[in-house]
Amino acid sequence: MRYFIEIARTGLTAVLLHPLRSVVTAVCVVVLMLPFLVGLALSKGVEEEARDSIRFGADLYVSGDQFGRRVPVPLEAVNRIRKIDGVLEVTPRIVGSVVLGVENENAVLVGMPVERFPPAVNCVDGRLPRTGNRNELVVGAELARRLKLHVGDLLPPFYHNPKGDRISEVVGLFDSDVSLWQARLILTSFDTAAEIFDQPGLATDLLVECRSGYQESVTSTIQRGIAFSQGPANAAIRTRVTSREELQATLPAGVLHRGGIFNLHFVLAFAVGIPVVLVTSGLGLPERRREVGILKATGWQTDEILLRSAVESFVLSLAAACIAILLAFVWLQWLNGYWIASLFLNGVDTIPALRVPFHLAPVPALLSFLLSFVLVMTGTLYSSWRAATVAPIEAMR
Amino acid sequence: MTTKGLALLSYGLLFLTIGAAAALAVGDWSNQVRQARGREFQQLVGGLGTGPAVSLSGCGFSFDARLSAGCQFDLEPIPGGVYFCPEHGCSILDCSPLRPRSVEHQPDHALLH
Repeated sequence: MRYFIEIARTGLTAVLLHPLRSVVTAVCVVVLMLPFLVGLALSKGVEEEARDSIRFGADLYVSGDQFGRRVPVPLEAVNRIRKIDGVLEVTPRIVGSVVLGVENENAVLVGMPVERFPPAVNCVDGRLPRTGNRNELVVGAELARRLKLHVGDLLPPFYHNPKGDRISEVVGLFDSDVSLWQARLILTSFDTAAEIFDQPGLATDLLVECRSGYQESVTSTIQRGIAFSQGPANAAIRTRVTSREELQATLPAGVLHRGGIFNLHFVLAFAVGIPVVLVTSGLGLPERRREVGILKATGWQTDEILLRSAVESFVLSLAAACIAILLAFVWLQWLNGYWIASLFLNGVDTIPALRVPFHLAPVPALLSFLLSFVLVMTGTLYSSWRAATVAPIEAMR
Repeated sequence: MTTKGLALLSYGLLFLTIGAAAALAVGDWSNQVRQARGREFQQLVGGLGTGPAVSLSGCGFSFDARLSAGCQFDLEPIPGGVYFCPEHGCSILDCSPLRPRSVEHQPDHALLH
């Protein structure tokens, strides 16, 4: 055991023998690992917020279905669904896209019944909308910054309704660290949203709360028994029901189950990284070959030299991984994902107005260490093995 | 020099490892605080958002799977066709499309035997 510890100690010494090579190798690995870690942390953060969105939302979401596409559902469905055995509550909701301002800023407008709003909330600076003569809006942080809105500001009509357009008042602003999806959100009352979109009697979806264990039967009853006629030809609008479990199934199963160009980029980057480390590790470093030759001439065996190189690689990759984790934390926590958040989250500014969600989990951190170890090992071990398997006199030449 | 250098390297590695572990712990703690605030928001809007987009201007599915069952720019089975969507182009969260319930569960279905 002491014998192995002594050999391992020489691996630490090897890191100090070629400080420039060690620093360059570590920097290369950090440059490769940092954006990968940041992307994984952002992905994990968004995924956790998505899971919360599903967990704290409704049990079922009911929308209309025509030609296999989602369409709004008539409000008459609310009372019909309320009567189904097992249903606790049905809430109509409007979610739509609006454009505001001179720069045509896209926003998501959500209308909910005011009876559903609690008296006070912590996530809003100001208050929630009430019914009244004006449209009352709660605006998200990113949208408020782009439009330079504050609580109490009045907005001229940004929509057209044949019955008349109304001035809107900003009565609240969402806190920037509440959620990713508040960034461009406008929350208002259901009636105001219906007026803005000029869609009386319709909702984009109905939020259904069920008693425990009744979800499946309520879903079945809605799909079999609830349908509507629309238009002069009485075209049928069927219902489409989405359950919480179906939504959870859309999210990635784990850290290794992530697709997209993101993973492809990093597979390529790691593939390029191996030759980079190979070059910095000894393929072009004659001193390392002579060093191995001297060790062989003094009695070192090939496996001892490889163990020494493995320890050297372990130290370099551990240092690089730790530096990458620290830099990723600084970038996401203190710099709030400056620039990189706008790359991965469409619609977010270079300097985000919202608190960028991220989670630096232990599993991705361990994965980054393992990847950096493989990277450094592949480059270092091969060159050490090549030098160790030739005659010492050849290596020392 | 060697002994001093080894000691410096060892301590440096130790501090880096402790620092990285502390960063992970602090990140986890601040995440829990955010989750508590996020819960109130989600209960207020009835559950909103499941993807990496913050608006409906591009792909509705990238904003919320409840609003759109799949990506409108999905050009599969063309190889790579799913990535033509600008919202998915650099997606860090690749969500599967919602699978509609089988036709036997739909009212008024027609089955050919």
